[in-house]
Amino acid sequence: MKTVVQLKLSFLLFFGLLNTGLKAQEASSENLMATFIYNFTNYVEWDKPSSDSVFNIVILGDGKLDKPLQYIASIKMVGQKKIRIIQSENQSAPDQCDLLFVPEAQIELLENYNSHFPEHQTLIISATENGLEKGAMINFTNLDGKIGFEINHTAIRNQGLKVSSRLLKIAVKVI
Amino acid sequence: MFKRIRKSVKNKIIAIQLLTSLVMLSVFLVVYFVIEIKDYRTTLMSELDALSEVISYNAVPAIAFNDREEAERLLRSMDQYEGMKYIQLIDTQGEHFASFPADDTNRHKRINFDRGIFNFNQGEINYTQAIIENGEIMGYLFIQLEIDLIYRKLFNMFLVTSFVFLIGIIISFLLANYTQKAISKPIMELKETFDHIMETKDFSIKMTKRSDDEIGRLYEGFNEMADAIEHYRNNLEGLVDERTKELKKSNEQLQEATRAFEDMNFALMNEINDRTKAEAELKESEEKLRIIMQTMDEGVTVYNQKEIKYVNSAFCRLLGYEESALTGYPTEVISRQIIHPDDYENVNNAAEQCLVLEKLERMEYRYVRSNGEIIWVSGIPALIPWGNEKAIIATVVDITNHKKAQEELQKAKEAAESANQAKSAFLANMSHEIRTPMNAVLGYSQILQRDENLSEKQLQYINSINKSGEHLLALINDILDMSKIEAGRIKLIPVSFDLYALLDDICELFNLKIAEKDIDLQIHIQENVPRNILADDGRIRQVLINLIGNAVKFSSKGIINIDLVLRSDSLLAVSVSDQGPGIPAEMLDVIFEPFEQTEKGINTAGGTGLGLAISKKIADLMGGSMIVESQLGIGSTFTFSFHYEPAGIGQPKRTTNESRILSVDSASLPINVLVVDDKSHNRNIIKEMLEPLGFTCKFAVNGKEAVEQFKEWNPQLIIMDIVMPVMDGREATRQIRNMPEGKKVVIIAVTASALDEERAEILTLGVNDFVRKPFKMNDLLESIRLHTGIKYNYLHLKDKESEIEKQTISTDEILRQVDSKLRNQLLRAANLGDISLLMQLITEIRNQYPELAVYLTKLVDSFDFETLINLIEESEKQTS
Repeated sequence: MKTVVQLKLSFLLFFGLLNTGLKAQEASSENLMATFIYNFTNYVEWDKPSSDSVFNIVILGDGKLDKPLQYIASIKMVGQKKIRIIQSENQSAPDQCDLLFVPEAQIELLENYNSHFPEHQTLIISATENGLEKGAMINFTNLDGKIGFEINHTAIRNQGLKVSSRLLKIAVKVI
Repeated sequence: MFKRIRKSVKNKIIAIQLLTSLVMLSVFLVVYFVIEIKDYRTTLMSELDALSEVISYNAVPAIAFNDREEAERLLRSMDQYEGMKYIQLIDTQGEHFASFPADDTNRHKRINFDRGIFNFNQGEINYTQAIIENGEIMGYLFIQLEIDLIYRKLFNMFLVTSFVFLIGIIISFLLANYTQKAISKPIMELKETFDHIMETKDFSIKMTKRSDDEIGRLYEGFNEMADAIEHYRNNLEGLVDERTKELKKSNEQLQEATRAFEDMNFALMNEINDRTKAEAELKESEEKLRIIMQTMDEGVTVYNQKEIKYVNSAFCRLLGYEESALTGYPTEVISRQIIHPDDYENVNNAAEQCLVLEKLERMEYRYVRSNGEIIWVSGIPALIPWGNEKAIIATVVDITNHKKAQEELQKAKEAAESANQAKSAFLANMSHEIRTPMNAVLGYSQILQRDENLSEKQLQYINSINKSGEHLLALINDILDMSKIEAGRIKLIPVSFDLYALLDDICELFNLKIAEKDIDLQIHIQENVPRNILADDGRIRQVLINLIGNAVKFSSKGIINIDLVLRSDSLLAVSVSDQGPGIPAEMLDVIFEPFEQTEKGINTAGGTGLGLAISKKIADLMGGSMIVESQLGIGSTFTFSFHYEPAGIGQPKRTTNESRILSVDSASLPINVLVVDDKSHNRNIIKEMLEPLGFTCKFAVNGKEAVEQFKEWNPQLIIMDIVMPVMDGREATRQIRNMPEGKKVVIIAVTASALDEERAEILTLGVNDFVRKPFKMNDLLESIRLHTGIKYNYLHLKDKESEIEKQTISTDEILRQVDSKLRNQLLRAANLGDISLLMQLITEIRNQYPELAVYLTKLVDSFDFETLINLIEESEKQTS
């Protein structure tokens, strides 16, 4: 119960003033993760984006993050770009993708995507145990009900992306 | 203590310097303190800004990813900051996110951002700053510092400034003590020297000058003063004597002034008495004046533009008001009340002119009395001073009765004028009616005169009829002229003419008469008199004939001078001077009145007595004058002046040839004449006049017939009557002139109308000339000659004149043979103009002297009493 309250507070901390619609919804780890995913875009720099006008976020799997991310896309922008959320249920990723979220159920597919986007840079985020070892660059953790994240700095650098030291500073673990 | 300071210069100097230092140090330290605090606050603010910037930058990821541990770790690192009491991160909702120390009492404390980002609270310094990332507020940073931090700072500053202040006071005291000695010591020395001089009265003791400053100059001044006192003491006695003398002298002057004052006082008293007496006299005079004003019959009022100042009893009686109802009231109100509304503007304007322009004029106007009765008054204004103002004093006299009489007189005058005009109209009509039958009388007599078959007696009768007719015509013309003048109907008809020729022409008329007397007629024309002028030649001729005729008539010998002079650019004057019997002085004023004649004139010349009256009226009408100067036994001078305008060349001169026309020259024949007249006798007269001379005549009885005759016959000349039935002469002339062949025909209008304006109107119809009925045969023939260009054969009358002359001479001889008694009776009858008596006396002579009787009858028939009288008088002289 304490965890639920904490998550709700976190969500409202960022969006309470912006969206009264979501405020009424029950806060969840999906809402918090969607918020974190958007916040990552403020601390990571893409030199080769997939598009000059749209920031593409691709979500694989059951689509639990789809609704909160769609809401964020409707009120926020990444730099000067609008956000487009692409839900991919058929396990195949589209051609354009700046940020790929891979849920725990689809983690096995991650290997296939590591080299899937040679034309541009893609930040891959997972939410599973040992996600970094399986190829994710940022992986959500849950320690005593508190949502955190760990970073594979090497993988990010290899992709050509630049990450802020301030993000690294608050990561649970950096490898 | 203050008493001590006041008594000592030394203490005053020290006190002043210490006080000055104290004030200066205090001001300096207060300013220093304020500046320091302000600087400290600015510095503190800058530090907090920098600190909050660092914390905000590092706290943003922790807030973004909800990492409170990281946030608290960051805040904890601020622990070593001096004075830091509490630091907190707050979310955008104003809720606690993280703090240091992690104090539960502050965890739920909401910050009031309205209090500003930096403020001093009780015992605390609060600072609030928004955390902004990418232009978006992420949360707020709240910092609380201990106030003791500032207190410590202030205490340290106080210690420093107090120390500085104390040191400053000590230094200031030492300096004051030193400087006062330089001033107070010389003063004390001066005081001691002064005391010594006062004690010993020795003014020779002097101060020794040690410096050139103010003290040195004070010493010099003291020494000079001591010298002056010593000198003054030495001269004091002399001065006392001198002052005593001056005082005595002043005393004497004072006594003298007192006496003069007493004299002046006496004179003043006398003057006051005189003035009192004068005032009493003035009062008495004023009282007399008041009584005079109140008792006089004329109304008197004094007023100015503002109010009525005074009215006398007569004025009140005149208007029926009490004095109290008029005086003191506004002038405009009273004026509108008492002055008749129709006269108000005039009286008001006159009053303004009187006050402003000092233009004083008597006025007649109407008052409305209190009972509504309207009275006429005559007001005479005068301007007088009234106090400091100017006022009008008006003397008002009731002239109502006079005015009524005047109105009645005016009415009577108008009635008389009206009657006079009616009379003139009557005369004019009557004269017209007389002239018409006269045409027949004169016309036929003229025709008969030309008949060679007549016996001498018949010719004599015919001549008599003709002369009588002409005399009657002249009389009618004079009466008509007079009536026209009186009716204002006479009009001048200016034409261009030769003035010199006119004068010659007139003089020629009198050649025969002057030849019968011992008279010479001389004309003198001033060099600058224009020859051709624009004026009414007919009227000038009329006046000159009258004047010269009179001169010839009344002169039996001597010279008649005719002087023509230029009076001004537009005024000519003709003077006719004779050496006749002269006019008595009492008659000079009346000879120009109608029907007034001198006794001599009545006895001698007969006439209507209208000639001079008409001449005078004509002169007036022509903008000139008629003046007579005369002395009994010496002669008379009549001067006729008239206005003229310069003109070009004069009109062709009508011949004054008095020769008889025998016939039309054969070279000019044939001449066809259409005679148009509705009256048969008029047609016959013209026929009888013209046909014997060679003219061929046809006749028409009205205009219509004339037009038809003209078409058929096409004559060279038409003699056209104007007033006719069916179609008058005007219309007939117009129609004939409109025909192509009607342009050349000569038309001479003949009418009995005597009006000049009608003549002008008829001439505009297109007729060539205008002959007035009854006309002289020669006038008509002359007009025909002028316009047709034909020539006549004449019988010159000069032979006849010589015959008359011879006859006069022989008559003179025969008359001397007549009985002197009969001659005297003839003379008396001639002087009286008694024609019947004359004819009776001539009948008595006829048997014995038939030639003389015929001659005398001729003279009587022609009313030539003058020749008759001269003839008898001459024979009387020669007989005696």
